[in-house]
Amino acid sequence: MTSVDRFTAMGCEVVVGGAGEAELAAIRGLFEAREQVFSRFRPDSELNRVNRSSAPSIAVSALFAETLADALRASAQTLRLVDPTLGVALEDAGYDRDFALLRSEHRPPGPGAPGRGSSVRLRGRILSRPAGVKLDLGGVVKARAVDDALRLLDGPGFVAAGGDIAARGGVVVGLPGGGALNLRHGGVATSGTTRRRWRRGGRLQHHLIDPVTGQPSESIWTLVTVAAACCRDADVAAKAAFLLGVDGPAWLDERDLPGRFSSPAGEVTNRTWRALVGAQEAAVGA
Amino acid sequence: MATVPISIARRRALLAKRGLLFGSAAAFVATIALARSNHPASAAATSAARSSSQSTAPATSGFGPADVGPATASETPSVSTGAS
Repeated sequence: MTSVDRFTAMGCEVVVGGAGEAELAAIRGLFEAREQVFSRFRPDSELNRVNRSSAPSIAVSALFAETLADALRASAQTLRLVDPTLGVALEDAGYDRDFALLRSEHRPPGPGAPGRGSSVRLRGRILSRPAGVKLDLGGVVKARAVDDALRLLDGPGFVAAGGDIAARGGVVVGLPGGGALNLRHGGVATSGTTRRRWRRGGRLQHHLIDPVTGQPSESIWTLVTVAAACCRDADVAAKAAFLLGVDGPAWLDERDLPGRFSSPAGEVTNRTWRALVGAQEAAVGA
Repeated sequence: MATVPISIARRRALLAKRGLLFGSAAAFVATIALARSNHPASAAATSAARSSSQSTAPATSGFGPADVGPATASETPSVSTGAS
C-alpha cells in the first residue's frame, strides 16, 4: 500500500489506503454528505427532520430511501434483530449526543422502546411509520459509506471507519485482542460493547440495543468480528450474531460467514472461521 | 427476497423453548465446550466443517461470502478492526 490517510467523520477515525489526492477528497466528501443526511446529532440532518415530523407519511431523498430500504432488508435478513426503529431506545439509554460528549450520569435510563421495524413502509420515496417511531439507520449507514468509498478508488486499497473495513486487492487486518487475517476482497466488521459504553443511574449502557426489550443487549459477547463479501454484510451479520448470544456462531455458520467471538471467559471462532482463517491467527501481532 | 415473517414475541418464545435466551451462562459454557471439541485437527475435519456449513446455508440469506485467509506471522496489519 503506497499511502495511508486518516481523517475524522461520523464520530470515528476513517483510514484510507491506496488513495490519490483526488480520490481522498472524494471519499472525505462522501462521508461528510452521509453524515449530513443521517446524523442523529446534527439538528438539521434529514434523519432528524424525518424524526421530528408528525406527518404519518413524508417524502425523503433518494439517498435516504435507498439506505432505509437497505436497513429494512437487513432487518429481514436478521429476524428483525438489526432494526431501524431504535432511535427512542438509544435516547432512553442515554445515547442522545455525540459519543465524545457522553458522560455517565446519576439519572436512570428511560424505559426503552422495542423495535417496530415491521411497521415501517417505504413506497418509492414516501416513508410511512407510526407516531412516536424514531429511525436510527446507524446499523447500515457507516458500513455502506465504507463500501461506497472503496468504489471511489481506482486500484487496490482499503477504507476503514471506526474499525469497519472494506478492501480490494488484499490487506492484513489486525483483530481485537490479537491476531490478524488477510482480507483479499470484501469487508470485515466488529460489533461490541468495549468502546461505546457509559453509565446511567449506575447501570452500564451501550449502543447495541436488543429490539425485543428496547434496552441495551445482555449478550454474553463483548465483541463479534465477521468477514463477508462487503462491509455492510459483515457489519449487519456481526450485530445480529452479537445479539443472538450463544446462537451467534451457528447462525453465522448457516450463512457461510466466518465469525470470531470474544467474551470475558475467552474467545470462540465458528467453524467457517476455522475453515477459512484457521486457528493460527493468534501468532500474528495486531 | 423471500422471508418468513416472525413476531419478536414468537422469536423470543422459540429461543426460550430451545434454552437459548440471551445471557445464559450455562449455555455459554456449553458453546465454548462445543466449539473447542469441534476444533479442526486435520484438513479432512476442516473440509467437513466447511461442507456442513455450506449445506445448511439458506439460499435467501442474502449475505455474500467472505474472501479471507490466514495472515502469516511475517505480515504486519495495515489496519485494525474494532468495536464501532
